[in-house]
Amino acid sequence: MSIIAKRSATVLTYFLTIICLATSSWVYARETLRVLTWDGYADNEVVSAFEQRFDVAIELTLVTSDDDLWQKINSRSYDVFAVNTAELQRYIDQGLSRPIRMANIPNHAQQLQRFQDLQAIPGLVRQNDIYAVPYTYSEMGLIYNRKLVKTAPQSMSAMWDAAYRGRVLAFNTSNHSFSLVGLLMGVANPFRMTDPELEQATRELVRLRRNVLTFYATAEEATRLFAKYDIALIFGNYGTQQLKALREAGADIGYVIPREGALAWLDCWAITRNSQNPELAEKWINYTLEKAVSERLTQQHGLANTITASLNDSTQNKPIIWLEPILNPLARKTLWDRIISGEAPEAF
Amino acid sequence: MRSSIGIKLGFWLALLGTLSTGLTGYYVYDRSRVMLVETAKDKLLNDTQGLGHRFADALAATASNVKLLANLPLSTDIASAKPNTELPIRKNQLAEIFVSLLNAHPEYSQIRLIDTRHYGKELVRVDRDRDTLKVIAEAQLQEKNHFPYVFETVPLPADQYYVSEINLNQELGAHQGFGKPTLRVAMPIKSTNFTIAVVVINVDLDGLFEQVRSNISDDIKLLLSNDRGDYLIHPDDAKTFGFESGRSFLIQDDIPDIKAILAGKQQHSAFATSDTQSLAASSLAAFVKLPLGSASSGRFVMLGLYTPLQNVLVESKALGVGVIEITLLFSLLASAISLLLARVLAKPLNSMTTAIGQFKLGAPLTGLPTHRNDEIGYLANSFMSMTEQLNSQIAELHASEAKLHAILDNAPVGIWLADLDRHFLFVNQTFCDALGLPEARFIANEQLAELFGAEIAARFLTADQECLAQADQPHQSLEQIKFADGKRHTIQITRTQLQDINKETVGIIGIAMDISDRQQAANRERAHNHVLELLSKGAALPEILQAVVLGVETQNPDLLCSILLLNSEGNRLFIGAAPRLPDFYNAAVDGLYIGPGVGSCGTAAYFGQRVIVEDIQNHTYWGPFTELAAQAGLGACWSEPIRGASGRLLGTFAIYQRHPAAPGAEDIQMIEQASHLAGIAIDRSRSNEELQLASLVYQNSSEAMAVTDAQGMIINVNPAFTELTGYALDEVIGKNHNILNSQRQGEQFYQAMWQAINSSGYWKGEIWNRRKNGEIFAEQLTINTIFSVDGLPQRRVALFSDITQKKQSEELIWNQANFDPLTGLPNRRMFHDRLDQEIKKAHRSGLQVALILLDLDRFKEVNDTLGHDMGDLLLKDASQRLLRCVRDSDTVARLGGDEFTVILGELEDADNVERVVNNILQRLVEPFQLKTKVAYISASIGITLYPKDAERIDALIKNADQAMYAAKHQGRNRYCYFTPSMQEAAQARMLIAEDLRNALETNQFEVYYQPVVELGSGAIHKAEALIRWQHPTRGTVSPAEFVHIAEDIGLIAEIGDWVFKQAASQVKQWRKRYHPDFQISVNKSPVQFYDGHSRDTWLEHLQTLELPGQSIVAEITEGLLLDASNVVKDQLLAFRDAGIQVSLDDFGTGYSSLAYLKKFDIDYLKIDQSFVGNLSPNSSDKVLCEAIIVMAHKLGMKVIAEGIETEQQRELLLESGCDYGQGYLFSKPLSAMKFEELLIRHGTSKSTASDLI
Repeated sequence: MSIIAKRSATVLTYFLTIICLATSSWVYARETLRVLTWDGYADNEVVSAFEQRFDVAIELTLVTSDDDLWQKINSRSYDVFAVNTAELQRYIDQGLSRPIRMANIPNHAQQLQRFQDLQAIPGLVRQNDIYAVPYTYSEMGLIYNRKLVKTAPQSMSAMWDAAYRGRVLAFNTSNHSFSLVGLLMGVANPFRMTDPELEQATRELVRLRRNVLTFYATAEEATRLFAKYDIALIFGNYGTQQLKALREAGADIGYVIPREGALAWLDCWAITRNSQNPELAEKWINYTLEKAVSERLTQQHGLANTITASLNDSTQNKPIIWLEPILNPLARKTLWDRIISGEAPEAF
Repeated sequence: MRSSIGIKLGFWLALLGTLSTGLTGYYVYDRSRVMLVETAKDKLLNDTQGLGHRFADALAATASNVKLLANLPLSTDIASAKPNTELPIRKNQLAEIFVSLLNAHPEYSQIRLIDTRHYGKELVRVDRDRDTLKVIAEAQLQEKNHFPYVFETVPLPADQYYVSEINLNQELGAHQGFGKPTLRVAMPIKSTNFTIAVVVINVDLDGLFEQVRSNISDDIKLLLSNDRGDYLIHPDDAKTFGFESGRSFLIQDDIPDIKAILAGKQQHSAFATSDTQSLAASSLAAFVKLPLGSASSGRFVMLGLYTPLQNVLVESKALGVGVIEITLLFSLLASAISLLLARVLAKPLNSMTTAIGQFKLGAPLTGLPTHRNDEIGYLANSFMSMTEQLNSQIAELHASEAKLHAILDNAPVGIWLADLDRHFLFVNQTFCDALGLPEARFIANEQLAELFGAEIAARFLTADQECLAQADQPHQSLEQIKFADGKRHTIQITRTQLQDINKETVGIIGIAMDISDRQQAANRERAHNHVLELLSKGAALPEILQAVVLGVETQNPDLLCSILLLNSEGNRLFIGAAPRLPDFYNAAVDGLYIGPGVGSCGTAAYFGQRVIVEDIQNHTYWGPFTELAAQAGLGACWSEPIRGASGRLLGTFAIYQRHPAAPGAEDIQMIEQASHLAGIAIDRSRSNEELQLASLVYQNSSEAMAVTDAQGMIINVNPAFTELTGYALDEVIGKNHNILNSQRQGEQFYQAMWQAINSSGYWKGEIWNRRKNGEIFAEQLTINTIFSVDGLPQRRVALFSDITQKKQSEELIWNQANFDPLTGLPNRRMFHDRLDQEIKKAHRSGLQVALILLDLDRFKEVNDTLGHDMGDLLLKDASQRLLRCVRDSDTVARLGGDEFTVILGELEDADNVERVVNNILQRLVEPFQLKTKVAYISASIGITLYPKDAERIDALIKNADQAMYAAKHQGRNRYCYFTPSMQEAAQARMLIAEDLRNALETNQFEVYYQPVVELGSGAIHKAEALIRWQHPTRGTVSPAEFVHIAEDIGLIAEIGDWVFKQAASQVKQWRKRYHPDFQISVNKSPVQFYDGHSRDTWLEHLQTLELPGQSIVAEITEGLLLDASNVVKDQLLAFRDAGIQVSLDDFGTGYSSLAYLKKFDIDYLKIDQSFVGNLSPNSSDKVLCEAIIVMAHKLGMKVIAEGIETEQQRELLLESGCDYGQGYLFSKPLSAMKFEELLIRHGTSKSTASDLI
């Protein structure tokens, strides 16, 4: 046997060994579903039940704001994510999400009547393709501390009230913050604000920054701050979910839909364009629409679900403004980062 | 090869040595390992704590730097200066200090002075930016009040510092710390206890750890988590600060032992980890808890170090190798020693084995090493004594065998032993003697066939084989063998297998017992039993007799037997059984007349004594039969008479011998036994036949029969009884006959019955009894008694048959004749009977009887509208209501249709009648629920009293009828007592009714017309048709007098139609002549509405005349609408469709329900003349009229006022808006001719009201 032949045999052996090792580990690895979602949408119990039933692993990543969601989707890969109908539009525009095959979501038939016709819900369907399936919704009202605020506030403008300086919790997000100010300013469309309107709103948001204790990110953080400081007002970004958390922590709070209207979101499941396992992602969506899973949203997390009609749906007969796509989200985000970093009003 | 004891011993010793060495080595190895791990653990914990101390020191150093900065007067000056005050120099000075501090501490990334009174505006800020330090320009300074390091520091007391949570710095700005794990240490600057500014140093966590890590080797990994367990430092970058990117990686999930520290239960911990966890598997780990800032903040981080166990255990591995080497060496040595030992031990044992191998029974044992003084020597001595014992025991065994031989030879049974090849090993003396064969012939192996003959030998062989085949039990067989005495003996042979000590079969033991005597006795017994069995089974007599004969013959095959039976006259013998005698002989003997000298049997029967003929050929009794006997080969005949239980002669039993012979004592006994048995058989057989016949009759009778004892306990019943009563025999046996009692008959009935039975033993009659299923049935019963010889009743026999059907038919016929099938009430016939009875009773008692006649009002309408089914339901319900209103003793009967009567008998007080009648009226007006429909009726009742009103039945009925008629005419739903005037009125009515029937035919009716005037114009375009009766004798009869009679007798429809036709032809003329819209109204009685024929007549007639419907107005009364059924409604609709208008007569006097004005299409309202008559200005009647008029107009109706007699009335009505008027003011009703004149007059003079008169 020549030296060359001997060497190539050795190389071949190594090669085969590596292939065997690689394939065996690949064969035995469980499939992984990467879920990007909000706190409470997929709690431990829901996740482990899914993992057991389908013998898969779930890699769960939580987001704290729409900006955060956008940033994460653009920097890492996920299979399925929860996004509101307005935000969804830029994901579709940018080709970040893919159509869902509704045949794989048989539980859609169980959803309440108003979620049956997906065409009728703005933003879910584009060119006959369905891009998202509704999962939960809430409006974002104003939470107030009954101990400190004797008369229920009528408007979000209360957050600017100097009387509550250092006792307001606002939310760390660019899109709603601007829309909120837009609403208060009475602009034509708070989701499609012009540059001058944005400019003015920025100044208002700096004013707001000067009046708040801080900008919170998670509902849990807000609850913690509420317990520690004399918080008077909280912008309820997480809506009813946040109310439940606060009340369970023993807070004596009230909740109002402001007269200028409350922004409301309808969060849906969507599948990423580059999902490695769209079938599994569809299984996940279908699974979350099972009655027991969806009802858990309500029972455990105080969120509305799309399967059972809620007893006192606060969105009924109130000035509710469902979120719409933002004209230039990046501009808002850039401005917001500056605001939150503490830039002085003169800088804008 | 067998392993010797020596080798085995050697092997085990070697193994023991190896094991003990190995275990000791392992123990040493293990202990050293534990000690090593413990030492390493302590060291690791020390390292961790050291690292922790350095981290804490670094923090403390930072804190003191912050404190230094906060306490600088420069800082306070800058912070307390008024806003917008430019302090460039001072700020620069402070910035210089910041810069030098940043230079000294490469782990610091930013130092700031923040003005907490102005939104946290940075006053001085120095950033580390790309390895240079940068003092931030005024314009780029930011507001930071909303960050925790500001708002949490502000409330702190002076000198207390704040340490933030560690997170990724997300604040924009040109500093190097952006996006890096950052720890902020801050301290407030106070001015009169009020925080005016905050100094903050940002510490870069990575930089900090680079400094404090110092000499910790690279194979030790570092972990840092916050107080929630989130990783701040982790070997995997993806997991470091996972919470900042939305992922949750917690140290307690990876290393469960850590929970105690996180929960605050421990300050530090060191442990070895398991090999299954995902992080730091099979490692040593140590963790310490490090507080951040003041204890009150509760904030801490957890610092940990871990290193793989294998690093620690390198020395322990070397020790292990040493242990293995020593163990191998020891085991080799142990093996060699063991082999040597084995050789020494094995030698004497081998010599002993050889000596024992050569030992023979009886001979002494030699060559054993008995001299040795060890275990082997003891063993050799034991063998020696054992062989001596064995030899002495064998001698004893020989002696005992000789004893056994003697016993066997003298036993009373034959015994032999044979081996498996059938060679006799032993035969005892008894057997040899019985067969007369010497033992030597058996033992000499002579063939069996030669000893016993071929047949027996074959059976012996078979029996031997069977015995060998069945191991568990002895084999038994019977054999007939001719003994030395020349007789054939029956012997019973028992064979068992002969087994050796190993239970293996080596041969057969045979034991033979002579059972000849015993078997003969058994045969006799069996024959006897067979006969008795046949008897008990009720076999036929010839069969039994044959069995008797065969029984004797089987025991004595040389004998022939016969049984002859005596006929009932007692003079002839017939063959009973003689199976083996020749047929010709039997034929000759059959029917033989008995007599002296008629053979043995004829003589024996004649004298009734045994006759023994020892030699037939030479005996006088056989004179005539010698030849026959010779032919049949008979030599002797012994005959015995057969007698029954009562001693009566039944026949003879005879035994024949082939040769002359005298009977022995045994023979006599046998012949007596046989004849006795035959006697029993004949007796029994004959009585059985009689019984069977009786039973056949009993079982097959169609009459039910029951046999009871004298006390009435049932002893037997026949199938007919079971069929009739449903009780099976075993259900009633032993029970009293009265279980059938139905309780329908009273005690008296049974008393009379028993009296008859006790006196005469016989009773016959009809009785009601009860079947098992509870059903009652009638039976025709006969009871007979069987008396015992002493005249006492012994049995009673009851015979009966079911006559229920007959009874029911009778009852049905009676019911049908006397009761109404629909209501179940008595019918007219029964009513007459009852009334008759009641009158008789009342006559006797002097009391009164009330006869009530009742007719349901409007029942016909119910029948017509709801159908006859509902009508029937109503009648049923009504009859029940009536029954509830009277006493049980009173009679309610239905006479037919809707007519009922009630008889209240024996009345003490006639007032009670009124109470009952009121009650009846009340009950009947209550609504009748007929399935889903509801109907309302009422009743009209006539009452007459006996004897006050009449004494005869027909008169009473007529009276009641008249009273009822009166009630009907007084408006229904009421009662009337009969009065004499009623009778007169009835008679008058009857006369009118009779005349009415003629009136139409004889043209006694005439139609008059009264104009209906349009009040406004005075025009006459309408008239009302009114009937007039010109009676030939009574003169003019008012409609009020005869219309209701016409209705009653059903003439009204005919009369009504006549009027209509008259009016129709009249209107046709008048339309032609006077006015095309002329209209005549015709009254229509409610009765006409319910006569469906009438409507069609009207419409057809109008068509025939080619008259439009508008030419006629139907005038109806309010009452019609009030109880308007569909019939009325349909007709009114049909009128409307045809254009016939409807006018409502007498409005205001009746019920005046406004509802039906809305419901029906009414065209005209006619205000009743009673209102018009009293009309005057301001009178209430005027108001009423006005109201009616307004209302009618609003409803689209026209109004006609009736009975206008004065001009004032006319004017008032006109003022009120009344449309038409009718009355004497204008004209009374006129004949057609006069009416025409009026029209002509009126047409020429264009009248006012007064003109019309």
